Amino acid sequence: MTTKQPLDDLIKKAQLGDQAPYEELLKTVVTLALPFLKKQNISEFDCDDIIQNTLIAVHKNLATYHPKHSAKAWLYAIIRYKLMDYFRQKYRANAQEFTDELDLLLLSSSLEEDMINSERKRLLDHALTQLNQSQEKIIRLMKLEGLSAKEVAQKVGLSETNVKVIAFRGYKKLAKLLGNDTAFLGCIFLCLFTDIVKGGG
Amino acid sequence: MNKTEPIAENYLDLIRKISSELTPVKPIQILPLLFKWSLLSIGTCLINIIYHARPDLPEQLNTPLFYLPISLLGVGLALGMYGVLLSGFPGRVPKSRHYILLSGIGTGLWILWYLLPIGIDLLHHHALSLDNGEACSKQVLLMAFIPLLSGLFFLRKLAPTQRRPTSLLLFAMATLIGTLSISFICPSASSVHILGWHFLPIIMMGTLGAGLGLRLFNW
Repeated sequence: MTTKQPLDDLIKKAQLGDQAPYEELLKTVVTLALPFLKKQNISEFDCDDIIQNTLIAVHKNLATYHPKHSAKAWLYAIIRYKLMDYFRQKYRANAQEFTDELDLLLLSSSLEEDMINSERKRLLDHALTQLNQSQEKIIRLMKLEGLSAKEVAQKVGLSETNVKVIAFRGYKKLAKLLGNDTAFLGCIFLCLFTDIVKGGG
Repeated sequence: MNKTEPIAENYLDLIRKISSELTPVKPIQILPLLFKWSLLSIGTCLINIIYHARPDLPEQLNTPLFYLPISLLGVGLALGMYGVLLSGFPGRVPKSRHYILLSGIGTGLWILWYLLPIGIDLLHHHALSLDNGEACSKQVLLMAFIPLLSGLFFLRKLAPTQRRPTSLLLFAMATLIGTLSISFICPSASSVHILGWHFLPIIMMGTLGAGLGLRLFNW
């Protein structure tokens, strides 16, 4: 800026269609907006965006300035509006990004879980086929179908105590068969333990 | 940024481009805008009043007491409309607040005019009945339609920086025009009826306006 003119003079001349004061006015907008935006901790890239939007907004709404009123208030109102607009858009984008990330995380974790579970199921199926017929049947009924020892006893026509004994022997055999998978063993013994605590098996 | 610091080239490019597109513009004046808005609103309401005027209107027009609540609401409405338009201009929101406050006082006095009889009735343990007034509410909303559309058109020409409050006030003021006009149509003198069926739509429309503000006044 070589010759400093009051802001309202610049706007008045710009409204009349004078290009040189208009250019000066737009430069003033940049010099006013930059420190204001930098105070809001906005990155340089986003500052550029907001200032460009502000310049376009000033151009489009030049007619809304009335010479009787404060030019600075008019300019800052537009800058603040564009800043709020930016924050609103950023907030929406962040919220969208967050939900996208969350979806991805849930999807990946469920995929991972599915893979682990299907692998465990395959190993368990393989181990169960190596038990004798009654042990396999009772364990499948108790652990995979979730029946109680009493219900299993009624279904297979054995006494409840007998079912528990067969199941216990089956668990021990399974533990031996799946010896390497300690986590899986832990699960089996946890199931067994909870059943014992409940008095179910 | 220091004022002596040169302006970045990307801004200068944009500034040159924008400057080259400059055409002379006339500052938008608020009073002609208010005049056009009022004319459109009153005109459409007047047509409705002529067709559906209450049977006792000539008598009422000779009763000085008839004018008191109407003028309270009328003053509130005029100030409110001016305030809404003022709030549409960037940087003039603090000024518009004075008019909206005055408008609130006018409308508040009008509400008080009808609230007092209800209070007295309640003190005397009289039962209050909200008689059927759906037709009144429909008329209020119908008469608010043109003021709302025209107000929307004028305000969108401006650049409201506080979109939600501006929209809330615009919707409320447009419905207030309908409420004022219904006084010439509805013969009911019941305070409960007036507050329930004439005043409640203002709150409803104001709430709707607040909800739609961000979308309606995006610029």
